[in-house]
Amino acid sequence: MNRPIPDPGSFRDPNGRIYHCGGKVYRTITARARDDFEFVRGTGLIERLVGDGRVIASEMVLPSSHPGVFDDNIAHVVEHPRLPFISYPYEWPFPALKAAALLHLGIQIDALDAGVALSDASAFNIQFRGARPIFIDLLSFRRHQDGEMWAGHRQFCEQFLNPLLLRAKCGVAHNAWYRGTQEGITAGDLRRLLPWTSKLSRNILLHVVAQSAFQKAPMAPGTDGKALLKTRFPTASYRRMLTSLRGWIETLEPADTGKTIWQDYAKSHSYADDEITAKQDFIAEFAQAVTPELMWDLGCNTGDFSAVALGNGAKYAIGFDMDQGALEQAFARAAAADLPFTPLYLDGANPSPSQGWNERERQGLAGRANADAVIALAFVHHLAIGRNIPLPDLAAWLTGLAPHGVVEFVPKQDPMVQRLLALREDIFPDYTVAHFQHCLSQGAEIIEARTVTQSGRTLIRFRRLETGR
Amino acid sequence: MTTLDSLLHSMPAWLPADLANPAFAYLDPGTGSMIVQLLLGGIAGAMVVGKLYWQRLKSFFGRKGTASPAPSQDD
Repeated sequence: MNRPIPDPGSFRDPNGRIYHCGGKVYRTITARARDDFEFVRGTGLIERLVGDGRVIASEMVLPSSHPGVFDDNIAHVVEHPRLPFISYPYEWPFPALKAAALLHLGIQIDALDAGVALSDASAFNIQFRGARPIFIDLLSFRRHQDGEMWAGHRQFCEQFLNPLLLRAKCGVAHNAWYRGTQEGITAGDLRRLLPWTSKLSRNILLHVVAQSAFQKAPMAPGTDGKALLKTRFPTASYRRMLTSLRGWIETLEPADTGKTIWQDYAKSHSYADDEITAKQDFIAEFAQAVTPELMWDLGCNTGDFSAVALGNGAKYAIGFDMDQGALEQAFARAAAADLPFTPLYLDGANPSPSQGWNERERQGLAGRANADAVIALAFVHHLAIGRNIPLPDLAAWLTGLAPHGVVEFVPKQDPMVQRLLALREDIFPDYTVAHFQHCLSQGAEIIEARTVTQSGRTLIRFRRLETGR
Repeated sequence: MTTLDSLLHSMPAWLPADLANPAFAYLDPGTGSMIVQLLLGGIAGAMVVGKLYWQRLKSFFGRKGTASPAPSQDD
């Protein structure tokens, strides 16, 4: 067996960590966490939560069958199934963060009934399969002692509630801020931004205003927060707090800031029905030929073409877009049809970087590039003309993401490119389909190029050249 | 000392003070969050909060007593 490699993002909890080995994912449980782990297992809670898809499955592995491979003081080792893709809360659209928040609260409510509590409330402990959130941190489950406070309340507010409120009450998406802090948004920061009318709400008064005020307020001389730790918090109050938060968060929706540019694009696009059918046919043929286990859909909009690929042999799709309205519709589509499709926020010109502790805690997009197919429809012109990214760089980036792909080239005469050029000088003499194909052919074989609209939009299917990689 | 003052100062004697709170092992819950929970936790919890801030309140109204800042992760 290869030596397991500790996951660089799994270090905060001393009760165990994640290891990767031979394509498998293991979690260790150290001796100090043995009692809690065995208690929680004994309640049958995890089995029930795994059964209804809310917690990731885990299979006990005998540490003795892997002598010397994990660190010392290991009491148990479990193996988890590998997820198709790891995403982070700063990549989730609003409805995904909301679904994750509700999952966390629902699990806590059920756990309390079994005498179990969650020791933290990190949003990074939740991942997605399609539009369904799944809790992945087995070690967050601990025995709950009667009278104990909710240890993760502040973290829940910072990582779930406050980012949702930022969008719901201020109309600002959480993604950029969250990516910057990685720990979410503090009550103090949000309190300064919330409109005063929203502060009349009992929930906001309590979880944002009061929490922030008491966080800063000086206490009596000679006292500190430790006195608070010794105070009893009745379990009934704990449960009421969770159910009340759940009821409130269920009602939160993005503030009405008007329609976003692209959310109606699938209905209002600039080409005819038979042209869209031609695009769909091309993607269907591609999916049938490649049958990707995982496909990335760059500029996924509301997920039309991911849905086509999934209906034609693709097993799982991750969609990326930067339009919040389109992403919300894509998420609703995936949730309604239970599609294996997860739409995520991404600015193609500024993808998620590797960051966090030692710049390795959270992987950048390139480090997670595990797709075996990529489609980029109506995407390239936004980067090439909208963001001045040179075509050779774009072609190299795209062919580097996956071994198979389809890219749409939208020529200058197309109304959408004309719109991008309307208020600026055309400094793109090389922006032609011939030049783009030449750029792609530096790293890939062009399998087919098909013009699908009267304006000259061309779909190019490529297969990456593996020599020299 | 006022009646309320003496009541608040006698509280630790009748509140359970033996909770180990193992769930806080590696996460700082924040004083703001704990106080919010005490306020939600009924009269006993609210009185603990009252005790912690009584001195502060008194000094605000010009009586003796200085306050020490709470540990803050928020700012």
